[in-house]
Amino acid sequence: MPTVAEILQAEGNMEEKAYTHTPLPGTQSPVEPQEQERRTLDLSWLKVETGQGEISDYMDEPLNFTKKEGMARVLRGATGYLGTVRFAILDIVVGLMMTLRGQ
Amino acid sequence: MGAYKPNQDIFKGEHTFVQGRTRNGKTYFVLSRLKHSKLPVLFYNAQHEDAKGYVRADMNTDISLIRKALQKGYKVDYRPSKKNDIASLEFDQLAKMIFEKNLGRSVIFAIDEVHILNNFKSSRQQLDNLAFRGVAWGVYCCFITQRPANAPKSTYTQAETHYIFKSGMEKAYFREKGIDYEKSMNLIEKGGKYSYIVYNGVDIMGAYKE
Repeated sequence: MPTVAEILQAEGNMEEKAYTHTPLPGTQSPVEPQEQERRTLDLSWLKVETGQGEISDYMDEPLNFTKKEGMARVLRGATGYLGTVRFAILDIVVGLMMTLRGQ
Repeated sequence: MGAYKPNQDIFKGEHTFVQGRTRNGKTYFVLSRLKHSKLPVLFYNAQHEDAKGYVRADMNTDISLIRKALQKGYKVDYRPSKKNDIASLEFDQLAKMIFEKNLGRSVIFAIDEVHILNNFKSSRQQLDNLAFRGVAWGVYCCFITQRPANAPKSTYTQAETHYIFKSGMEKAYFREKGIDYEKSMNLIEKGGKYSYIVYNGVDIMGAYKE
């Protein structure tokens, strides 16, 4: 019957073998999995700058359904991440919705 | 005569109490049933019974390794010292490890010869703690003894299901639990060697045999 120490040591040896890498000639050594696990959580997405312009510039955006300042602010923030909210597909979809409503 | 709930993990989710005279099959019953458990098991093997499929540990084993083995899902056969006072200290350490330091998963803690641990104040307190609070924290105890009258009261009052093998004159235990001693022994006698009955707090069922 194996002891606790023996079985855990055997497991440890198997894990070490799985992580052995042989880099191809001329390539850089791959990042060891242990190093990947030690990377900290990336929170840089929290520091993305908001879209350009004032809130009032977003009041007439097609996606501002409510025509209010709150939605305009959301659209400015979305522009910061996406670069733009002026997507052709949105114009088509929103235009169709407005057509169906008789607008 | 078949086994009670054959091939089922009967120890998961509750405390159980297994009692009976020595060499009447109770430890074999516990070990064979624990094989079906998907939970990790720590078996405090006071009698150093043969536990196939378990990984062995004793006082020379680093307790952090025992904890790691349980976290990985192993069944650990812990063999304490044959000196009762030292065995009691070992039990205290195991109980603290398994209960106070959260393993992060449920575990079955099978403790053989609990009546011996009752002689030591610290171990008695650990047993009370496990009995009263263990289930809420995912520590399901299987208390095993040949002397229920000498076992801490909490171990048999907090156990939902009792597995009773051929017993001596333990009338105090039977009376306390409201179990008909004469009826129980008659059923076991009819069942033959290594048979047992099951008491779920309401009914006596059996006799069964593994």
